[in-house]
Amino acid sequence: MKIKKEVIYFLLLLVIILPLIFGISFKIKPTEPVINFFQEINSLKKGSFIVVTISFDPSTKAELLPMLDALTYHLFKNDIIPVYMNPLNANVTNLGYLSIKKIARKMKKKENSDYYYLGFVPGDKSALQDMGEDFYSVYKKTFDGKDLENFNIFKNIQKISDFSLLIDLADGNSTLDLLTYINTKYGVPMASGVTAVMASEYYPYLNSGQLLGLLGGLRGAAEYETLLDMSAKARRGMSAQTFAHILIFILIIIGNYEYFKGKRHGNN
Amino acid sequence: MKELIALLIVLIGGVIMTLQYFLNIPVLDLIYKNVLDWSIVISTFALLLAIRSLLARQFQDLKFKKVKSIFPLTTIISFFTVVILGLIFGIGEKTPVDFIYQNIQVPLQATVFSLLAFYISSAAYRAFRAKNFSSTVLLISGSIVIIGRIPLGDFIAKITTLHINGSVISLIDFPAWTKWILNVPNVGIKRAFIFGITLGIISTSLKVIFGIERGWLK
Amino acid sequence: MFNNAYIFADSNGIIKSGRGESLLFFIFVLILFTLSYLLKIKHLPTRKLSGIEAIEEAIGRSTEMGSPILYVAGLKPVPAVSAIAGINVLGKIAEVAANYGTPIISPHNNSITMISAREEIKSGFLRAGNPELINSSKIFYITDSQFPYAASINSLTNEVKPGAIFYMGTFYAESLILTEHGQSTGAIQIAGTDSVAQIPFFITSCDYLLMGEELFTASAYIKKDLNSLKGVLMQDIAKIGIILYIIIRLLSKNL
Repeated sequence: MKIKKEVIYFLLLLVIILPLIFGISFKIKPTEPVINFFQEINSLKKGSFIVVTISFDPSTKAELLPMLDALTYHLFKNDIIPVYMNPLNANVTNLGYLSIKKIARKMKKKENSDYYYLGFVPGDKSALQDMGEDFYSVYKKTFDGKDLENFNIFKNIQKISDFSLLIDLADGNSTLDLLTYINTKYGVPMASGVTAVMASEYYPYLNSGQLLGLLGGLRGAAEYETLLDMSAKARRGMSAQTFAHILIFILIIIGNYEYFKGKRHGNN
Repeated sequence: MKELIALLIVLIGGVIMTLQYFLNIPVLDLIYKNVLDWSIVISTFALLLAIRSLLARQFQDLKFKKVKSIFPLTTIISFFTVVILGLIFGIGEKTPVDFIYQNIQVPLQATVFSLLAFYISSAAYRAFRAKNFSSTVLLISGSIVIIGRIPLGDFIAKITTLHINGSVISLIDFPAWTKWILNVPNVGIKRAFIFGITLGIISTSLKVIFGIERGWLK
Repeated sequence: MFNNAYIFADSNGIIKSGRGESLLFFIFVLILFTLSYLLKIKHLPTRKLSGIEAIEEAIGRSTEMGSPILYVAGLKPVPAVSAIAGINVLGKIAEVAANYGTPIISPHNNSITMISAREEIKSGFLRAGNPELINSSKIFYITDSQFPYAASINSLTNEVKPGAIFYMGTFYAESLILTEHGQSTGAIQIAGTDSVAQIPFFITSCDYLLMGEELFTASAYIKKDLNSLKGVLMQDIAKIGIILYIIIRLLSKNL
């Protein structure tokens, strides 16, 4: 008997919804790429000026927004000054801005002094490369319209390579673009947080040391929350993901059982 | 003549951009910076072209397809509503555009992404079968990663841990096996692909620069 | 002996700091490229690319069903090399489709790629001597946003029920959403991508796949002209060179 697609989808829906309703949560053991990411942030001095590029669509907010929240919390906690921008995705502007603002309010951090939000600029990869040559040819103002030249902290910034670290949170290939156009070309240290589907793509760069750390999907975000000793969206979401993985594992076993049963009966 | 000019622009542009990447010559950097600025301007105009195409198609659909006219109508109304509201009230916090964005666009897009979970489950059920040696390798490695990435993997590793002569060994350690799969075979295969793809990109670029590949020249 | 980085390490020199090794690699590839074009080669055998061979079969089946064919461009726009390579394959698809008199529908996420696709389809139809079948309005822009693009394509697939779907270019997490849905409609699916992370998904749901560099060599394979194939020869020799370099580095480290 072959299981119908509709049945599979319904079972998956159940195993995702029920753990979320009952608030089941598990202990998550952090892995090396996440520990390295965490330690990289911890190794930054107080007042370090870093760039965080938000390169994801609202579609992938379930995986990447918990990462952005946890990262922002960590940066604010360590008194690091992040400059957020989304040069590769216009759609995420408000989502990222408001999410950061919410955390900033809670942690009593001020916009345009403890953190900066620059928003979107057109130009895609050309804009990235331009920032390597002259930062202000791409961004002149903050998202709320204040001139960057009026802020003292920007006086030391000419090119993107003047920032201490670049972190990309991405659902597409932007980490690879930033590795090519910013990390390799201008030598800015980089770490990244990506969706689970894209994570395996970046292991070669992790291995070569080009990426200092990597958060892979919801699991990566949950590990990061564990390291920060906070229980937020990602750790709650991991319970649903755990049961979904178990269901898929069971489906694979059933699929193989059917396959071999069919083969024995000679109808494959 | 038109073709020759286009080929010359590509040849000169390609050579300058290549040299600029490697060589420390200020004039090349200046040209490069100017080209980047042009690209930003062009990409902005490309957006206008996109809007024209989008609206033209939606109006055409509205004109010729009476049955499903709800879709083009929704697109057209949404487009103009967001543009007009954005122009009047801005796009910042607590504006009408922000309300539409947070309460319509974000949930709709997240819904489409969440479909991936459903498609992965049906694809895994259908495709992960031990049909031959290669698919068996895929099946085993895939199953290990599925369990190794969830807390159940850590739990199994913990309950199967043995302490022998002071050293700790886990008999069924899915997370450690996952780490090995991701760091060794996965990285090896990816690197091989990266080499091949990079050479393919260089070869295609050189063919375009030197005018051997003229498919783009229409 | 093998660490060349220090030769070019001077940032005040003519070569930019940290780019010495990549320059060396580029020169190596450029020499091979020039040599492959200088050598008087009369014939270059190629292995079969089943993804390209299947184009005719897929369009033929689509014609039998009376269905159009769908060409889906990847998310990276022209001038990305993957997009250009995809457009080159589209030329072949258009030519075959024109011969069969089958319409092509092609939604896009970038207006520049859309125009390139329009021109390529137009010249494909002209080459096949069927210019009256050209319908530019079927090559259109939807959105540059990843998942709305995927959703629109799935909706389009439901609406027009294509007999064959081609995915060419760079794809990300939307790949499985597109291909699983396409598979459920019974269309023959042929993909070509340089997105390594998406290859497992395409293998699972598509009938044929051009993996990685195969997408870039497809154009030369289609044309079968010696000049284009010489570039492929260069790629293969360069790969042998890289393999030898890795082996020598390994041995020199272990000995």
